[in-house]
Amino acid sequence: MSKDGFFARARRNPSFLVGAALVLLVAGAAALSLVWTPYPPAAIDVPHKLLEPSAGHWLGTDSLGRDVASEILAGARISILVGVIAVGIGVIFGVALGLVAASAKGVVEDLIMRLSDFAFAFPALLMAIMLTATFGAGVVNAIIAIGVFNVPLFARVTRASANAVMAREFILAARASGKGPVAIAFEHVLPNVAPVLIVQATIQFAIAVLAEAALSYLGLGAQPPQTSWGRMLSEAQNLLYQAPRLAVFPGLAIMIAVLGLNLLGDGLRDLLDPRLRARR
Amino acid sequence: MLLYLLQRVLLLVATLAFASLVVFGVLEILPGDAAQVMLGASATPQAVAALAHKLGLDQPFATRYFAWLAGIARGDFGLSYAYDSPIGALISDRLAVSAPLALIAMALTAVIALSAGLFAAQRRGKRGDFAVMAASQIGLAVPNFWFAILLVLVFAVKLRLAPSGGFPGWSAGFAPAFGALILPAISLGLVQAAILTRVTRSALLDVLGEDFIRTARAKGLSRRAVLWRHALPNALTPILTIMGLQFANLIAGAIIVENVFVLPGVGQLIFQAIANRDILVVEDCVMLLAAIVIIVNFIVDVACAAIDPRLRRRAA
Amino acid sequence: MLLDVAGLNIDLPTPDGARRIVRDVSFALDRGETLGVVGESGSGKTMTALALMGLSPEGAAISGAIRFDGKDLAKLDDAAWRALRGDRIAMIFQEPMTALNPLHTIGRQIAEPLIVHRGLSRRAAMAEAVKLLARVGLPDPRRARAYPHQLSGGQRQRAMIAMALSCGPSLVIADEPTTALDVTVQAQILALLAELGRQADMAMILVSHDLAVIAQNCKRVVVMYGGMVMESGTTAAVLERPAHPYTRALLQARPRLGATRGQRLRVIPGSAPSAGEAPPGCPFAGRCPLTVPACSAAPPPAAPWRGDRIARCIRLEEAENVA
Repeated sequence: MSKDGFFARARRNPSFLVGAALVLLVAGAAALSLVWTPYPPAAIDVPHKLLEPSAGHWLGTDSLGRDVASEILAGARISILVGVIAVGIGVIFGVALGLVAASAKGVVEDLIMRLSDFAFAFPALLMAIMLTATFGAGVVNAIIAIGVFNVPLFARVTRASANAVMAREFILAARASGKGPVAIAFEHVLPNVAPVLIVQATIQFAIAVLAEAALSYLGLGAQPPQTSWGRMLSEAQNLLYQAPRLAVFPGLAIMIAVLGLNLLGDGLRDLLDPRLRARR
Repeated sequence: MLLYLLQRVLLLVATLAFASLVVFGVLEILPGDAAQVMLGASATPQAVAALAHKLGLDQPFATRYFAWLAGIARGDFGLSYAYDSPIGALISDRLAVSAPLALIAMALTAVIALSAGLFAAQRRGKRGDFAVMAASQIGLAVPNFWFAILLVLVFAVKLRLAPSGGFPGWSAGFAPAFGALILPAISLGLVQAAILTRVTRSALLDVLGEDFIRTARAKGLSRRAVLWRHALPNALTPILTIMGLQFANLIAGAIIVENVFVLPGVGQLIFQAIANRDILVVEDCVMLLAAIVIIVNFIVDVACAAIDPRLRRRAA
Repeated sequence: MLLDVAGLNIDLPTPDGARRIVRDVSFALDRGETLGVVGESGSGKTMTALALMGLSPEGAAISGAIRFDGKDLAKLDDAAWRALRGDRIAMIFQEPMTALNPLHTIGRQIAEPLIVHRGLSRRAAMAEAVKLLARVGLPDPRRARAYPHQLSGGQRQRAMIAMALSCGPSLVIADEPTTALDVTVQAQILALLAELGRQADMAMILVSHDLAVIAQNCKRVVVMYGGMVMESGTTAAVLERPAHPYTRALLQARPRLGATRGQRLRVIPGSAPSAGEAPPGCPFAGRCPLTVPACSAAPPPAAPWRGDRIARCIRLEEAENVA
């Protein structure tokens, strides 16, 4: 089984297939919303407020007459934007720190790892709430607050896998042939650590989407006129008696995005992690 | 074990000190003159200076930091600017709501996750396992505040079985107060249980594949005895560790869910304090929550070492 | 006759249907006797041993007869197996580090079978465990309170032996009991096992890939390959005049002291079939220098050879001439 190529095995992996399909659906919605939505997502049209779903408004309208379907499509943009940048911050700084820790060893490694231990002791979402509350609500601050707590996580994952890779013979061979630590880190260690990082990045993406939704729900993330699923939910909460459906669609959208990312991550772990593959 | 405890306590103190520095430091560097922000743009410079003096904001950073720590050590959390009352009393009022909520939710999480994880692990690869895993995958993807809104929708709006929010206070009697916490606790606990169920299942499956499980069977122990005496204690350390980490999520989740159910808990206090720029209250609340999380994880570490003799050695 | 295994087959479920990994295995054992089972990994020797304990992997289908003390074990239900395991039949595992529970003290683990089978109180069982530890060469009573990670490999294996012997079994199955140990410790453990076996008139099945271990400790030997018994007989006869080409290849593949310098170690060509790929004929066909088309057609029958020996090969005469 392990002799088959990545795509041949991927085709038999239900987690990967379902996850990829859901993620493509969300990414497609975001891309589509850039060029077309049924109505402008932020267009207020009070005379047509709280309409039931119909041919004109597939998912109805909200309390200000905005088209819910358009808002859901546009909301995907913020989720993906926050996820990509927050995970990107974590990957860039975390991987660098992790590689430094693994190649430098000794005091530097201890220092970096102790610091990441401390960071782990804080409830990340609580700190994100505090940061956005003090530095001001908004997408940029939300991204930074979520991204900051990805850094120690990626540092730790990178160091653990890099240490495992560096213990192998071919690293010794590279060192014996006169390669410097930076060259070894980029040419040999990083490609071998990449599968673990890809899996972790997918999982963290899902967590970032949830965190953005929570911050926006609390009014600390996306601000009007930006559309966010979390903010839609907080608005819908005031109308539970009049229009309960408004509280359903944005939540479903979040669930689909997170479920897709988690399944994709699980599938990729099965497909990419060589240790798991050997175990079959 | 004694040496281990000593090491752990030292680490706990260091972590708490670091946390306090971060909490105090972050709120110090917030933009704008705090006293000015509190009083608004129309305040006279004299009034701003007077308030700054009253709050001690004209002192240097180190002085204020140590004064703050010393106050906490004495049980004096300072005065709230917005409420003009001692912060210690404010927080303990709110904890009377938040602490039971967190404990009920954590208990729910533990009971659901341990039984579902055990159920799934014993039926590995069968239909029951698949159903539990699918349900937990959904649980992982549901934001707890959305789940809370859905619970309100179903149980308060449609079925009218529970209040949609608010808290009558413990003085109104146990039943109504407890009743007001049930839906919030379910929305927190059920979603958290999804992760812990998966952890429990995989920890148990790992242990059940170990050689010493076969040894125990070779001694003539029943499957039940092998599970309870040999498998579960060995699976418990990873489960406890994750539970400790989850407690942090639970605290953060509680803040959000309190918001959904309009509960007068610590989360609400933090939001009001942030809105009022009541800095000292924010500092104290965040420090309190961070301290709770750090102490819970300390207890988890010590509990794991009590279960597993190898952990006691590794630290020494 | 203490143990009589006749026509034992074990089928394991795989995604592609059941695979027969032990085929038509038969052997017998008297009270107090030590039988060696030798084979490479994947030869089915560990699966056979586990079947004698009723500890076959989940879903395994077992056919044939395993008569122990007059009872057919193949027909036992779970409760009857439990009463037997650890009391009448005990097992010593290969890796004492992972075969001991890391969270329990050695004493507690040794006491456990006594509590289950003898109904001893915890206190009495612990006192007994201290005595058992002394018998296996760990006389310090504080050892009973030690955890597995605090002991050396040899000490752990001694504790494992004490655990297996706690209820005075009439049969002990030792699956590679010394493979994970240092060479010097190996000899001590084997001597201890032999001595304790003699004292208690206990029968033992010693499973090993190491011919030297078998030669020193067992009067009779069973050679397994590809899930089948290739040859069996007294150890002296089998090792001195191997009948089966596989046994011969196995003997030639091991390094010997006193071999002429420059004399090449013979390597068995090809690779052993993995546990599962059951060929229709002789499992050694193809790697065997004497292979003829008939070898691959049907499994060779178990034929008597030179007195009390049994070998499964259709070319025994030719094999003798080649040597």
